Amino acid sequence: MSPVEQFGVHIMIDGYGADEALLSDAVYLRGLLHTLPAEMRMHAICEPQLVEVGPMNPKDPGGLSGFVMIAESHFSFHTFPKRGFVTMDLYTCQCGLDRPWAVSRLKSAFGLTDADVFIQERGMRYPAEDLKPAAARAAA
Amino acid sequence: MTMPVEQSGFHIIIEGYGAPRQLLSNCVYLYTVLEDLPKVIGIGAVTEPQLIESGAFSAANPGSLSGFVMNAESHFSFHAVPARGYVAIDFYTRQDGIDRQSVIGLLVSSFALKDAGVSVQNCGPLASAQLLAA
Repeated sequence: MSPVEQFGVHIMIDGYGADEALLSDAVYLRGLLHTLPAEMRMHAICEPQLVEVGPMNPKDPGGLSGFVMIAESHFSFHTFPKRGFVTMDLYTCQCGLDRPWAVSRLKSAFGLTDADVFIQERGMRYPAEDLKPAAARAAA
Repeated sequence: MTMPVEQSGFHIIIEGYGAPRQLLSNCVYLYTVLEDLPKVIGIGAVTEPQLIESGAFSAANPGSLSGFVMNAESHFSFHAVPARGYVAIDFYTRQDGIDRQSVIGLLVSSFALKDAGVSVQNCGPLASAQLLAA
């Protein structure tokens, strides 16, 4: 059996009690997309995107969605200012990320008074070596 | 008094293994998946899809393709490592009425996965069923 290794960790946070003005502040939120990955020693591979989305349905009174792609991973959030709610995820291939620190930094960045935090290990059966092409495998 | 709350949305996380290297390297195909899959599921995109090819970053990553499209208050993304036949997929939606099993089936077939680890995380509840400002 080929060797395997873990390929990253995914932190998901549902944040409550955030300030409506902060969750509506496009300049501040765009800044987070630039600074947070760098603080966590992640390498952005695209310009951050921030999009204002209008009301969609009775559950969703509108908000701002942000995203930045990081090498093999990403950081994204969707804010619901009128509910004081933000849902975010940080996916990184850095298995050694200081998770409590990262969670604390994300919570403070959005000024959360309450949060549900989910941490998912990723790629637990990730091949530790490149796969051989099928023809080479057959000949071996 | 407790504010009324409601659960809203789910996040499908797939660890995909055994995908064909050629498929995971096919930029045209992968872009089409980003463009079409939300439409097939009935979700409206709010940005153009982005697909970015990255070189080797570490021993664990001999090069990858990352794709992302932002949907209404949700997103669909993947990170593919063709040389390892691996793709990490996230499909997050807050839209009601989406059949989770159908979405999982579509994702698994779109990437021709031989093996997959699937997790579904319920999201929310939203802070309140009423506007806090109301």
